[in-house]
Amino acid sequence: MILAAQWVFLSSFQSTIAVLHESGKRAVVASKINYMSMRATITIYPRATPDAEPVLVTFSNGSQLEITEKYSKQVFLPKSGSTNWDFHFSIFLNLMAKPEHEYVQMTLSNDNPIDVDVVPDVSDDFLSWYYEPIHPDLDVQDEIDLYWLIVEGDATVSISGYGAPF
Amino acid sequence: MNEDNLSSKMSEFMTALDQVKKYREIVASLTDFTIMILGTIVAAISFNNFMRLHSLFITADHGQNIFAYFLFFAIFPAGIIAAVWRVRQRVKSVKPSEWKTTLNEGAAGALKLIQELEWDNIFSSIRYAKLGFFIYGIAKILVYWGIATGALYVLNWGVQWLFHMNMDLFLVVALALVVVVFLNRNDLRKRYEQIGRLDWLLWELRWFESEFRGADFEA
Repeated sequence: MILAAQWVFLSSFQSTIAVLHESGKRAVVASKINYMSMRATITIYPRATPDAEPVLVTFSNGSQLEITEKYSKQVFLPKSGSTNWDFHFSIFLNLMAKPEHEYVQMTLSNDNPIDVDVVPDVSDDFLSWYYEPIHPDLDVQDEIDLYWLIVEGDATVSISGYGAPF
Repeated sequence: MNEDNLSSKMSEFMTALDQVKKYREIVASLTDFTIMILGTIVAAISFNNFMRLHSLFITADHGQNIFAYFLFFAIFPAGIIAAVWRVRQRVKSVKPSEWKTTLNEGAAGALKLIQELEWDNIFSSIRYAKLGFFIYGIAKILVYWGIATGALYVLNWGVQWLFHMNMDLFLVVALALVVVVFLNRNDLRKRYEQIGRLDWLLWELRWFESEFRGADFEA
């Protein structure tokens, strides 16, 4: 029984990773459904050549940072909603039909309640497009939490996310 | 049957019984062994859960994570070593050759030993020991298989990190079994032969019992 309880607890943890080796303007996004807590680690490796331009990082609050060396940032998105028991059932009873994704870009669902993404070639209004729900009546702001930043320049960008419904 | 013959046969028989007592102790200690292995698994998963919560809510420090992984993988060998040590201690607690003093008294001592024997218990002990010896062999292979899988998994992780080559988990598990069976082939053969010998002992003792019951002893 102790082992079974431990297994249940262990199964609640989810992790995900995304990497992109491209230049240009990219959005690095960590998102989660509100009943999860999530920690994401973003790492940017600028191209290591003498004539390489600095990489510009723009944060969601508008502040900017120029980097020439490896830069790493951890963000914590706390739980902001009540526990969704569908999540637990979807983990332990895989008999349930997979729900359709509710968003155009994000792959969030009860089966996949945390997500990280590096979106290439974004425009300034990428957020409205990225946030867009498939069903217009969905109130996405209440349902999900999101952290993002924009990276411009020649660099490899990776983001890993790790979360649990506690 | 003369006195020398009787003493010699009795000595052989009591030596075999000592061996059976040891096997029986192995079976009896399997409960301790299982509890200690399950305790090790519970401790390792608890530690893993604690570290997961720590890295989620406190900080995901790379150095701490490596140390935590090291501790996590150290729990298993520590638990297994403790469990095997416990079994060995219990087997060592069986004191062999305690009957030698009585047997040194000659035919009288041998007869005294025979009179004290409970044949039904002896036959039952041998069957029990045979089963236990087999189960202990399987448990030992399973534990070694677990250790080998863990070791190969770590090796696979290292190879993946260094050379970006990855081995399928099923292949890791299957390869670990092949390695364990290959390294333990002599032990397996010995165990198989030992079980055969216990079978033979059982038949020999049945003959021994009937012979002693009907024998006339010459002093």
